[in-house]
This record gives sequence, structure tokens and C-alpha cells, in this order.
Amino acid sequence: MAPSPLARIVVPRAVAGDDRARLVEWCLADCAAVVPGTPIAVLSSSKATFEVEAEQGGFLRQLCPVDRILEVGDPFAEIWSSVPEAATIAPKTSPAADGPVITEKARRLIDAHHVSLDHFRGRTVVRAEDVEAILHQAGGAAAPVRRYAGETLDPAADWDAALGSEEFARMKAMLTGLRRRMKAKFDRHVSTSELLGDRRELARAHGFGEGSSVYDECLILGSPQVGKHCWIGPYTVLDGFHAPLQIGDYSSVGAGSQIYTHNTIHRVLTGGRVGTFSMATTIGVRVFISPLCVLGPGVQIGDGSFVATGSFVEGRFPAGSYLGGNPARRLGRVEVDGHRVALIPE
Amino acid sequence: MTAQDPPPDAAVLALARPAVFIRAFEETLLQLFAGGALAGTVHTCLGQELVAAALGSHVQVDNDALFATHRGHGHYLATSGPADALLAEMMGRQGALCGGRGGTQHLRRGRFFSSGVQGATASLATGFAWALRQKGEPGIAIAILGDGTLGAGALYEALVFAGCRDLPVLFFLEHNGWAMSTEAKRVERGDLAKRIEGFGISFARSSDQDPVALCDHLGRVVERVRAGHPFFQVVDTRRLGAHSKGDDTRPASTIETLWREDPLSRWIAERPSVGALYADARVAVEGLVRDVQARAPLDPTPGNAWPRPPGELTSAALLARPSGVANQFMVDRIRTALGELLDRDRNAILLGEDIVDPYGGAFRVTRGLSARFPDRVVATSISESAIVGVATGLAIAGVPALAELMFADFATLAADPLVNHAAKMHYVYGLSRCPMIVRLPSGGGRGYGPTHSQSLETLFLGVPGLRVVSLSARHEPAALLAAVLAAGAPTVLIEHKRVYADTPRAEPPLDLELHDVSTSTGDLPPLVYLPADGRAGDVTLVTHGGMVDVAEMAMKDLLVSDELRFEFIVLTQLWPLLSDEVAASVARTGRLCVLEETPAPYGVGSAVIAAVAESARRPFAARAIGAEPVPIPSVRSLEERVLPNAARLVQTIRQLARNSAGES
Repeated sequence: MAPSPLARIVVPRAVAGDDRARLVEWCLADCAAVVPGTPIAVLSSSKATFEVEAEQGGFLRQLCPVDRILEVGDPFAEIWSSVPEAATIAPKTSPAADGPVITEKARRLIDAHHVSLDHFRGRTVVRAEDVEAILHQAGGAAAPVRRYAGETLDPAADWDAALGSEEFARMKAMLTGLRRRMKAKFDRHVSTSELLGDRRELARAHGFGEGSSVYDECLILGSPQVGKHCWIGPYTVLDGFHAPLQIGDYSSVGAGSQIYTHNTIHRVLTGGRVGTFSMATTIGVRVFISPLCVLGPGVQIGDGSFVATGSFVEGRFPAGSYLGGNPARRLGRVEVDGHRVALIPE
Repeated sequence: MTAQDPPPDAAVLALARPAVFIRAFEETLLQLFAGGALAGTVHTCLGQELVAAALGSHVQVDNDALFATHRGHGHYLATSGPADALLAEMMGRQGALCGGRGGTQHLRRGRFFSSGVQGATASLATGFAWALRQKGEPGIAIAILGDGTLGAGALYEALVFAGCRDLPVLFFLEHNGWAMSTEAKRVERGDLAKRIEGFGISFARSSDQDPVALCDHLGRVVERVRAGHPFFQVVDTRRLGAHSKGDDTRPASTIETLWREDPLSRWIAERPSVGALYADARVAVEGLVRDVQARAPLDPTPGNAWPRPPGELTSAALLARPSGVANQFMVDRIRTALGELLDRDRNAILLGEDIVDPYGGAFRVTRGLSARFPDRVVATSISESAIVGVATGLAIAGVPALAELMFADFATLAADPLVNHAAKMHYVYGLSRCPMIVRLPSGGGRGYGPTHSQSLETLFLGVPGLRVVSLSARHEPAALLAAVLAAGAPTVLIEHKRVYADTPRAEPPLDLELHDVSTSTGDLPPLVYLPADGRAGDVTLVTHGGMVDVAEMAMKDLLVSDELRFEFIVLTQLWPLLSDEVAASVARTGRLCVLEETPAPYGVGSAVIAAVAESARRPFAARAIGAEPVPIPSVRSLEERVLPNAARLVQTIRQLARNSAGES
């Protein structure tokens, strides 16, 4: 167990409102014997000069030099039970040690590339660009360092060992089992991640309505409100992060289609002078979005509409619209009569 | 006055000659006013001319100072003030006494001053008298009062001061019985003699019914004051005309009685020699009017509210110097600076509440100074109005006056002498120097609560003629005080209490270096720090006084976490506002953040942002950070929540940098 002092002496509040004091002088030498009630040091705040006395006997350990400005509550001395103890403890100097201020970005680079701080001697501040300059000087000959999750990776190490491991063999066997099941039961091949999950379970987890499903490959931003019995295909994007996105019951988003509530067009083109554009997007009930469509922020598509493959949709369209093209236009109307569906050009 | 023993003609004529001229002058003013040749207002002293003449006969124009009222033409003319300059002043013609800036109520010639606001003038006179004594010059100060001023608290603060210091001031009250439309007896109670004698000041009350006897009596009173003691003289007289122009609501019978009791009217009617003088005076005044009317009108250029002393001032000259004594507090530097000023100018005076030893001021700024300068470091009564009024009187007599108000919060009690008197000395009265500094320990952070923690500098921003300066730990107090006094304008010096306990900051903030700027107008340049590598900053951060350490903490945090580059500007002078350097910086950075301790919407920050916006050529993002708009609470946790702090600043600047830099 680390040795600890008998008492730690802190800067008292001498005058109301005075938060700092200067250590004017030590009344006792470092390691001197202290009797309770002896003045240890003279401190001076902006309003008063005062002595601080020891409440406990022992041996003094001075923690800072004369003239240091201390905050009320800062420890500046300790009382130890013996001289050797007092003398062996390294004095706690202020953390405002000399040496430069290193920014967080710079610190990460320094650590990643094991850059010596000697490069920055005499500087007051070290920024990322300063470290990069040093790295650049070191020459392009050195291969870039490869890092993963904070760890520096050595390309020359025996990385293939993992493939020969028992765990890998077990995992591979399990995946093969799942693939066989998928083929046998559903007659299809899906991505590895899809093998492990369940499209309906995932939809429920995201609060989609009853009977809806969503592929694991869908990028879901924020909390889109998806109704009942919807089908969200693979490789889709549902952006409910920047503004509300609603998709009504029985609607379907075809594979590779992307529905957005934001874009950064103006932000990018103005070099950041204008912010991100965002607007709610609403898809009605019974809307069929074919594969490979993109719907921009603010799109409203009325109930029972059909969006043809490869459409880029912006704007608002009434119920029963037949849309297509880039940019998408209303090509006609959708008529549903019982079981019969007709796309009627206008 | 008894008719059986008429005074000798010579004595009568000596008083009557100036008195009838004043009457002819005042009557003519009323005619000119009625005819539209005079605008604004005019307060005549009809009925009080002999009182002015009697007093004027004892005034030594080169030595004595007069502080007259809005009804001051008689005193001006009775102390050899040229009538044409006064008329030109009111008519806006060449040769005007105060360039047309003062008009009827604000006159100055040499040591004659009149003002349209009563009460504090008693303190100005007291301060002037003190200055005369300090400099060992002959002369007295005379504060002319009306009976309406008996209702003003500022008068009594001056009486305490003059009584305690036994100064050569004559308080000369012309009691005409009416305070505008209010009869004096409705608002006066008790024994006036006892009231005044209660301040330890001798008192006499006389009538003007025997003007010659009054004049003799005033001669004795003035001699007594010249011997070095204050005196309060009341003369019962009358006002025959309206308060100002046509606003007389007194009953006709009352006015008739007043005319019957008027000694000058009686002399004119009963003494042919006086009648003849009066007729001559009317002719003379008619000629005067013709002369002045024929002159060219005044140049309508507004001019400068602040004096513009020659010479250049650089910001480098104002920088806190590194110290031989490690870690000396700013409070010690301010004390040293005050001591140096008192050493350098053997007349300079330091005054304020509780500033002498052993207490040495509420913040110990003046500790030890009263021992070194016992006659010139003076503890006053709790009289903020008089402290500032007396300081103004000292300053206009050429004695540098350094006034301390215990807390900036108390400046509200001293607003009148600052705003209505000191601030007008250059522009209205034409004084090239009014060397006074009112030091205001400001700001919160010490748990002193709603009336001892405010940053009230905004009260004085926008008062032309007053300079508002803010001391920070980056300024050297000695250099700052010297520059302020050299600039010559009355100055409010904001000393945030945080600064007292700070150590002088001589080294530039991290990664920045001073970009020296200079002024040649008497204005105090800001301290401008730019990135040491010569590149443009990401954000312009502007602050002053006690917020400097908060700003620097935030800058360091943002440097480490976000690598932000700052252009950091510490304002020295808050008013008049110098925004050129800020505008130049914002043109580079496109982002401006102003930090202060007053609530932001009406603070320095909004003025800076508005000024920058007016000259900006491209859009910029801006934030003004100040205290929450609530009175400052006492309890530490609440106070911390209300005052701006580094964490809030970091958050705001990060947002500012992100919004306009386009990161999501």
C-alpha cells in the first residue's frame, strides 16, 4: 500500500470572496519537525496576509515553491510521521509543467507514430500539422503505419494463423449449416449477416408496424415511422434522422432504393456557408417503390402510387400517381379496381 | 428698508449700474423670445438683479470660481461677463460664449460655470475650493443655489464634505419663494438655520430690501470664507418673471405684490439717477441686439465630445509588464500605480469611502497609501454623489482626482455628477482637460449578491464626453491610469474584482502574439493578439476586464480539443467604441464571439457586433455571451449558473465554428 501523510494542509479561505493566495514564505524548512499550532507558511491573498498553522505534529513536506499562486483548497504541504517518509515522496509540483501544449489530434498522431517530443522542444503549442510535418520529413520511404482499433498492426506478422484456428473451423461449419437451411427452406442465398438474423424481428426492433420486414443491409438513420405489412428490401436507405420519415401501411421499398430527409448540396457547394437542408418525407399507404429509386427530402407521395424503377423523385404527388424518370414526372395514374390494377398514361 | 435714512448715492449707483443693465438685458431677452428670435428656453432673473450685483461686487473674477444655476445671466453679467458673448450664445451667432452648445443654462467664462441641473453643483464648488487650497492659490468657490435645491440630497452630501474639510465655499442661496410652480412653503419644513448649522456650517439669512446693507453684509461673509471656512448665506428675494418663458401660473395678485416689493423697481421709480441709468441700459442693450443679430450664424459642425490631446498611444505601451516580484497580484499593481500618480503630481487627490489605513479600501487597493500621502488620500462620508461631484470640481480646477466608489453598484448614486456635469466639461464648457478617474470595482464571482456584483458599465456607454475604460490583467495599471489622465476626459474605470486577485499577464496567450495598434485621438487602443504563425484565425474573440481569464481558459481548451486558432482582442476602451481592429479581424475569420459579464442583449457585445456588421463586406457569424438576464444571485451555485463561464464559452465557440465551417 502506498504510504500516505498524516495530514494534508490546504489553502484556507482567509477573506470572503478571495479565491486565490500567494505562498509568501515557508516558516519551517522542508522535513522540519512540526508541533501542533506552529505556523507553517505565510500566504497572501489580494486582501490579506495570513499564517497557516499545523493542526497535527510530525514532519513537514513542502509541496510547492515560494511565490506560487494557489487556489483555495489546494494542498500545499503535508505532515508525515517521519523524516525519511517525508523526504522520499516526490514533491507534487503543479501540473503546469514546462513543455508544449499538445492538441488532442497531435497527441493521437504522436502516439500512433511514436514521434519523439524532442522534435517540439522550444515550442509552446504542438498541433496535428506540426506532427505531420515531422512525419513528412521522416520521408515517404517508410511504409504508412496500419492501425486498427487503436493497435498498430505489423503487416509482416503471421495473420493467416487465424484461418487455421479451431474457432474459425467451427464458425465456418455453422455458417455452412445456416446456408444449407436457407436453401432448403427458402430456396435462396442471402448475405452472411442475413443468415444470422430475421427480417421481421429487425423491423419490430425498430418499431415498424406489425407484419413489416426489413433486410439487415438496410441503412436505417434515426427512427423512420414504417407502417404495417411493409417490405423494405436489401441495400436500401431509410433516413429518418434529419426530419421525420413516414411510410404508410402495405408500402414497399424495392432493393437499392434510398429515401432521404436531408441533403448537403448547398452546404458543400457554398463551402459550409449554408447548413444542411432537411425536410420531412412522407410515403402514403400502398405505395410501390420499385428497385433503384432515390427519393429526396421533402417528397410526398400520395396513397396507392407507383414509382417506376430508376426514378429520381422530388416534390409532391397526389394519391394514385404513376411516377417515373429522372427527374421523376407524373406519367399517368394508377387505377385499382378490386383485384385489377392498371397504369394509365396521361 | 426705511425711507428716512437713504443710503449715499455712490453706494446705490455702484449696485444699480450692473442691476439695471441686467434688468434691461433680461427684459430684452423676453421680447426676443416672444418675437421668435430666441429658441429653446430662457430663465430670467428679473427681481433678483440687485442680489447678483451685491454678490458680484465681492467676487475676484480671476481667483474665485462661481457655480451658478439655470437662472445665471445676472451672476454672469455682474462678474464682468461680456453681454454680447452671452447674447450670441443664445442666438447662435459668432462670438458665442460656449459656441452655442450651452445656451441660456450652461455658461462658462474663466472660472464662471452655470448648469441646468441643480444639487451636484454644490459638490463641484466644494471640489474646486479644495483644489484651490491644495494648490495654495487664493480664491474661494461660490455655489449659487435656488430654494428648489433645498430638496436635493446632493446638496447635503456637499455640505457634509465642505463642513468636515472646512473648505472655503460660499453656499449662496437665492430664496425667491417659488420652485418653478411650487410655492416654497409647501415643500419646506423646520428651521433652515438649524438644518444648515447641523452640518457645522455658519449660516445667515438676509433680505434684499436694503441692497446696500445686503452688499455690506455679503462683503463680511465673503471675507469669512476667504479666511478658509464654509458659509451658507440665504438671501430672500423674488422672481418677477416666469420660471422660464411663459410658464407663470402664479396668481396676478401675487405677482403685483412682488413687483411692489422689488427694490430695483423702487430705485428706478424713486431715484432719477437710477432711472437715467436704466434708460441708458435699455439703449445699450438695443445696440447690443443689433450688433449680435448682424453677426454670422454659428458653424453647425457638431465637433468632438472628447478632448483630442496631441500624441500617439500604442497598445504595447499599455501591456502588463513582467514583474521583478514573482506572481504579484494585480491589486498590488493598481496600488503601485496610484502611488506613482500621487508621487508624480503633488496635487493629485485620491478620495473614496474607507480608503485610508488600516482598512485600506474594501478591496485593499489603497492600503498603505494614506500613510504615504496623509493629506491627499482622503476617506469620505458615504456620499457617492459628493465623491464624484467633488472629484469633478477638483479636476476642472486642474487637480487630478482619483475617486473610488466602493462597489460599481453604487455608481447609480453618482450618475448625475458624471453624466450631467463631468461629461459636459469639454464639449459644453470648453475645458481641454478634466483629469478625473472614477474607479468602479465591478462584477460578480464572489457571492456578494444582487447589489454588490453588477457590471454596470453599460449605464455609462453612450454618454458623450465620458470615457469608459476597462482594466484587465493584461494591462499595466500605471500605464493605463497615466494614459487616461493624459487623454483629459473624465473617465469611468471598470475594475472587475476578478482582476484584483489575478496576476499580471505579461506573456501573450498561447500561440498568439501582440499586434501593436496605435491611436492619436486620446482614445485607448485595444490589445490585439493574432496567431504567432501569421495565419488567419478561425474565430475572433473579443472581451474585456475580468472576462479575460475566462476567455483564455476557453481558448486553451479549444486549442487542445479542436485546434482552433483565435484572434483575441481585449478592449481597453469600451466607450467611445473602437471597432476597427475587430472588423479587420472578422474580415479574416468570418466568426465573431464577444464575451462580457453584463447581460448580452444590451452590452458591449451587441454594440461591437453591430459596428462590425456595418462595415463588413461579407457575412459573418456572431455570438454575444453575457450573464443571464437576472439580478446576480448570492449563493455560489446559482451565481455560477448566471455568470458566463469557460465551459459555456467553449460550447458556444464550438457551435459557432461548426455552424459556419459546415461540419455536421
